[in-house]
Amino acid sequence: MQECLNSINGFLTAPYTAWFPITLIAATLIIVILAAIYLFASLMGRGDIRKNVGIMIYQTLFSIVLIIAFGIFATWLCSFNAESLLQSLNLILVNNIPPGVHIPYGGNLYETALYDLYWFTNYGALANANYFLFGLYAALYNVPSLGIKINPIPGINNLGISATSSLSPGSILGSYFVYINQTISWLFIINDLQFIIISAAPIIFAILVSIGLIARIFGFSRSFGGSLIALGVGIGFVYPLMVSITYGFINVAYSQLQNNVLMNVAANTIGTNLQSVLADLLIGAKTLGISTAVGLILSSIYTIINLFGFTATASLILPILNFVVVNTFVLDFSQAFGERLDFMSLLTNII
Amino acid sequence: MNKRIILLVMLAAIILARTSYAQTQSLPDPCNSLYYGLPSTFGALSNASTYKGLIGYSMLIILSVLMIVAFLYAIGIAFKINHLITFSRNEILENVLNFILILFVAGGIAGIDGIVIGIAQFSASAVSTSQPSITSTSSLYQSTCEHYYSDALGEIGNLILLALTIFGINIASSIQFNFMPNGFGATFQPFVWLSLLSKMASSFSLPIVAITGIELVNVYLLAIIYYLFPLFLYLGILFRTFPWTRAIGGALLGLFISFYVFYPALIYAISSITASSSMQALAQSIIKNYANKLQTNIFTSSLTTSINPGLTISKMFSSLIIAYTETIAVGGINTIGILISLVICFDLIEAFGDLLGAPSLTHGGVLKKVI
Repeated sequence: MQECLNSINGFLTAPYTAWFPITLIAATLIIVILAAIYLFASLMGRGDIRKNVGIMIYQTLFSIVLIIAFGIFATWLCSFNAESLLQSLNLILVNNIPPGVHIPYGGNLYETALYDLYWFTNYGALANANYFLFGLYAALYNVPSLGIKINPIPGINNLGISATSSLSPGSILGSYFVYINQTISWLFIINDLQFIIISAAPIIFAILVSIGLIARIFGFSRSFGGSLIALGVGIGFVYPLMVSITYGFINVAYSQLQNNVLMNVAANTIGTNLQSVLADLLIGAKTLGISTAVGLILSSIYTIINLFGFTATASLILPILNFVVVNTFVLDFSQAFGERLDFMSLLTNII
Repeated sequence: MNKRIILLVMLAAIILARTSYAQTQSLPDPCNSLYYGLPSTFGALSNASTYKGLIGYSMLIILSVLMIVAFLYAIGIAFKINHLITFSRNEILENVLNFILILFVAGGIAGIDGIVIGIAQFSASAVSTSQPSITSTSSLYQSTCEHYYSDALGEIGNLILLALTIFGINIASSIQFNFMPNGFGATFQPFVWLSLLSKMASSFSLPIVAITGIELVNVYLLAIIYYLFPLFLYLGILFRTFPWTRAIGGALLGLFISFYVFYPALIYAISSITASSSMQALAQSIIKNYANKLQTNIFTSSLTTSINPGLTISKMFSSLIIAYTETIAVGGINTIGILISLVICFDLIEAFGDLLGAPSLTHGGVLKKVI
């Protein structure tokens, strides 16, 4: 997380601020050149060139307005205290944080998004599902086989009745368990991939929007420029916004569920049921003791299954939801600004 | 000797587990915690006060946009720029329409509880008469969540029963009579054919696992929709006020209406058919009954009275398989219900995409491709 934060901070403090002024200078230069052509065209008596250049000057003026507007927006975006806004909506986890984890108090949108994603994969639902997966694996496979041998004549081994069977639930759920394991691994990869996108979001925003604004000045590259602006705003603004909101919500919800439901069940199970089991066994109520022990095991199973259900939903649905919203934004925004750009279709076609 | 006692205790534990698995009490209930157990500040997006303020802001934005457009219109008239005049006229019309649309949406939001509850109760009335009363959107979500969660737990119970049945069959099939006192002789395994039944029974675990997974995902998906999708309503209203973001605003509104309003109402109606706890209890009692009979017959009929023990066991096993199939079918209907509801919601999204001018949601839209 620190490396990603350094990448974002390093970018925000230095070259980022230079992009929009550079674009503004470039647009001003273009307008000066166009003005010169406009004058020469008047002198040469070329009305057609004069008319076309006149339209281009209007376009460039409009682009300058857009550059200033996007520059103000970008400056606001990087200095805006997204953390306090999200905290007021209870969409960022700040309680019960283990020591060593940096909470981005007063942080901008990128820092908040990064923190939420980091918490989910390293301390939240996905991390806990991974820990429990190991425990579940051990519980399913590391059980003894049952073997009974009755020999009626002492000293003679192979005369009588015997029966053996494995008590391992892995023998029934074995293949599905491998699928669960693989799914969790893929979900880790999908969620970790988002770190790269979030770390690169500010630079994507600055570079794509700047190039797009310049490209919009010229007639032949206007639609391409509009698409670049849409893609830059989509990945550089909408995506971190969606990540901060969705993962912030999931982290808070998981924390609440863990405190209210999962841990309480575990605490009750261990605190009450285990004591009952021991007490029942000590006083000789073996049936009741075993029954309570079964309850203990089942409560734990249901708790782990809940954890997996929550994790699978969160880590599968949230990336899809975020990408769908970003793609919807890019698609509609690019159509309004320039050429229709459907990058998810391009990706799915490639895949 | 001690080892034998330990093993016998373990065998007894398996048999007792079969009879006492239903006696668990402290099961986690995420539905109640998700919709009623969280702090009041949580989920501010789904609170009415949030969107009331936001509609006021969007009205202000519309007025500001109208002022800018009027200014552009004035410039167009002054400098005789026809393109600017046409653009401004269109924008003024669009903004007036947008103003009316937001008023319409605001009116709809004020009665959103009524709309959601109305759809749910209307659709549920077609399939069942014994429904718990739905008084608010949160109670609809909570009730639907409970249906699917209890069904998922029922399926897990079935899976545990199945596992224990297979253990029992495996133990029986491994019984071996040894006649090799000096390391030479013969062994006899009269029940080894039961391993075939074990394999057949274990094939049922795949659909049970799949149904459980889909139902659990649906439980938490509902919570995500309930708490996060109101955001799309607010953003949709805001985005519709600007000319360049009008289409994405329409797309977000379409997502909200389809998934926040219609999806829970549809699956609530479908789950009413099968996801009741009484239905699950009935299915489990049938399975338990047949499983017990099967176990009894394996150890008694086949060794003593029955002339054709295999036939008796086969009949019992057949009944058990039918009971499992019925249980899986119950969960399967719920799962199909989820899929049908999703398809209907995607179609609705397309309709709203057309209505609200969002090209991303129109035919062959992005959601379909992703799914």
